[in-house]
Amino acid sequence: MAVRGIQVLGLFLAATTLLGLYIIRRMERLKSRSFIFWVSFWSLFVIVDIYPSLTGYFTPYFDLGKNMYTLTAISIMVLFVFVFILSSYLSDLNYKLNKLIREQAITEWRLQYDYDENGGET
Amino acid sequence: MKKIGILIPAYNEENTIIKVINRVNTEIANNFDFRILVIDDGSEDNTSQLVRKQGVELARHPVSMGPGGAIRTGYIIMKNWDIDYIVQLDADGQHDPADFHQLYQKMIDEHLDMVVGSRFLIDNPGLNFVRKFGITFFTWLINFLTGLNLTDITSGFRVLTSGSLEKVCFSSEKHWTIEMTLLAYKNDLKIGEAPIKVIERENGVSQFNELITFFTYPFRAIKQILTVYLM
Repeated sequence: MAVRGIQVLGLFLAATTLLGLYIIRRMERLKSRSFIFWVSFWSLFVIVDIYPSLTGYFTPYFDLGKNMYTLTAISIMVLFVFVFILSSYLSDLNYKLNKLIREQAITEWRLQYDYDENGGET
Repeated sequence: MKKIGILIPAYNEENTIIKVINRVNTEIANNFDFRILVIDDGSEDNTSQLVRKQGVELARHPVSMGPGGAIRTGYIIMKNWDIDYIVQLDADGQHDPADFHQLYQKMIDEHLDMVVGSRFLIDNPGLNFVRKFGITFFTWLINFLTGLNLTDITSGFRVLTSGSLEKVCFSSEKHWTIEMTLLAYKNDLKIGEAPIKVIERENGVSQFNELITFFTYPFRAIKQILTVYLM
């Protein structure tokens, strides 16, 4: 099986993304649901990238010309990348928001506790 | 005298929270040195004000994060407390604080790290068929994956040693019980169960009555299982 340049590029893209996903997850900045989804998606991407003939099973059902099919496939890939970036951004926002809410709750509890411990004196 | 931290997550429980606090004071005060911490998970009613009036320690989320989020906040606060055990129970009045003694005794007798209060070890009314089926299925699944022999994986009435706290600090903000139990198993903690009564809810609405929660719970539960096993 001859490996083409585009496949190597695809593998590089997938490996970089998977590594990024792992690092973001270790930092707990990505929800586990998103992590599982994107790891599954990029793993599937790697399989299709290594064995592109697998897509041949589906082409008869779409009945698209070769060029149109390629264009559609590329467009879908680009859209997925955008969705991925957006999803990561939302996940990060959610993480930061939860952290902020929790920190505020803990700070208020501590202030009240200190106040009570000091007999109501600040 | 053993020191205990009692964690009560609450969301819109103005009708029951004081009763629960009073029951805790009556049932646990005589034998233990204890502190109560209520986590108000962004209630829109007077839950916080009532708790403050009682002089009970309170941490309040400005907006709701879900029961898991509330318990996690409680764990983070309690990590620095000088206590031997942590008891967590719901604020809706469905858990009877008197059952704590059974859970505690089980923990002491069998040298356990965590004891879960099971609603299925004795006859309890109130659970509808769908919910019971869901709990039974996920309990079976966890038992199958871990070799444990639990009967009520989703129970929120739990007692654990303070030393276990770091090991069971889950990441889920909503449905946390499965992740917590799996983390306990993964960290070689000894887990057991003791029977608890379920008092029928007088006020408020269970989160499981919400249609979205009903449909999303299986996905969230599977996600929690994958999270623990993949991480």
